[in-house]
Amino acid sequence: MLEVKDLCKSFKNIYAVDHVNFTLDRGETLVIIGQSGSGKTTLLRMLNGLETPTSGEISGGTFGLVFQDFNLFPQYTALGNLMLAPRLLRRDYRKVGTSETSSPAVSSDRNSPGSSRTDPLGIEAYARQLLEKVGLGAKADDYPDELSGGQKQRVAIARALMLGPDVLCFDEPTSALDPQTTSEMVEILRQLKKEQAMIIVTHNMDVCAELADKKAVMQDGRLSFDTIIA
Amino acid sequence: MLVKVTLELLAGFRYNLIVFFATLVFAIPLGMVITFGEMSPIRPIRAFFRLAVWLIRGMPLMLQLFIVLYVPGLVFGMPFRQRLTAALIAFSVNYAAYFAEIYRGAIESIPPGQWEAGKVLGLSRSKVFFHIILFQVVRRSLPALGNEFITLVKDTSLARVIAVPEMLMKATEFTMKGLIWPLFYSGLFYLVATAALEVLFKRLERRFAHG
Repeated sequence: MLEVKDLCKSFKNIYAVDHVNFTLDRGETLVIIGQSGSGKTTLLRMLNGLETPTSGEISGGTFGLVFQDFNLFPQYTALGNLMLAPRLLRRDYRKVGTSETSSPAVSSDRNSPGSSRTDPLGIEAYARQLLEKVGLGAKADDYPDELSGGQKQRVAIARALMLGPDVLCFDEPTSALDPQTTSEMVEILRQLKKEQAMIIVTHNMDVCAELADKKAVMQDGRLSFDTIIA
Repeated sequence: MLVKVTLELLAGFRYNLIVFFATLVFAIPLGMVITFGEMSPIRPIRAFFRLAVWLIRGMPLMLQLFIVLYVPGLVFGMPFRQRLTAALIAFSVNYAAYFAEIYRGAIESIPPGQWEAGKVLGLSRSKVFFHIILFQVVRRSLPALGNEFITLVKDTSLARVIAVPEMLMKATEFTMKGLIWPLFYSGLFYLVATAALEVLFKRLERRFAHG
């Protein structure tokens, strides 16, 4: 279970995130709504190690982040974007998806029997599997500048899933998408929700209504769960 | 006569090519070192490299050729005997300063989200730089580097001011013997070299299309 305790971030004595507390169980989805500048993105950035908290504690899970503008690596194909970090970190995917484990391990074994010579750690096989899962199996060899906004986002989701995070965070997942693509994205998130804890920061009330197990409002850095969301 | 002039000019052009390629070999990596110095979080290091770039870019290359050739002899009593080596040092340092500014501009133009995406994926800063950022820096530097390479081809003729016997010096020797056309003919060699560079950079830009 993820636990965030008294988390604060201040810039020159102004609290961007002000004593935030919450817990999140495996498979739960927390949707955070709030105006621009309310501290939502700063909270996600702290959870993902992009900002150092001024005080407070985050415990009980690993995180992945799908950025608002995706931040795909333009020189790599969709498949290359998924494989880059696991290859550099030598993650082992040969047992991922079996009953033994659901997240990749760090490999210490370069040439285990039965592994393919071109894909000894099963990284490419797993990356292709994830691209299929987000409906982009046929786009594996396309570069980001050849993909639409919705497709880029799906690659970004698959890339974040590659490392098997306990909690997957989304920063405004529908803000850059048209209504049609937004409903496709909500469908993907609904599928994902069955097996993945998520924190979604959004302005979109429909997304909130569709996906939230827990809803919270962020205002002036404070997160409140007892505010009624229309 | 055309053959004799061509062979003479080619003998001189060999020096232009030596200066050109050796400058690239030294200036490309040295420029990267200067860039890191200019972007260092340590203020004295940053100030030192910025001052050096200002000094190098603020003075004519011709003057720098004289400085490298004569200052060691005047200050340390160790005059430079190898004029070609002096030219290579002056060219390399001068072009490294320009390359450094090109690299710095390219690095600063990379969206911070690229660094952050690498970090969120658990990559160290050096892995992010070498596997994600560097390619994009090269991609963004290519048009400006293409310009510098073409300028360098033409600048190699400056080596004659410290008596490196490059092509334009050879052409001028013909002029002193009353033959003016080799001077204009030498322009053809520069045109061929710059045309080859333009083709090369067009290909490189296609190779680096995504990024």
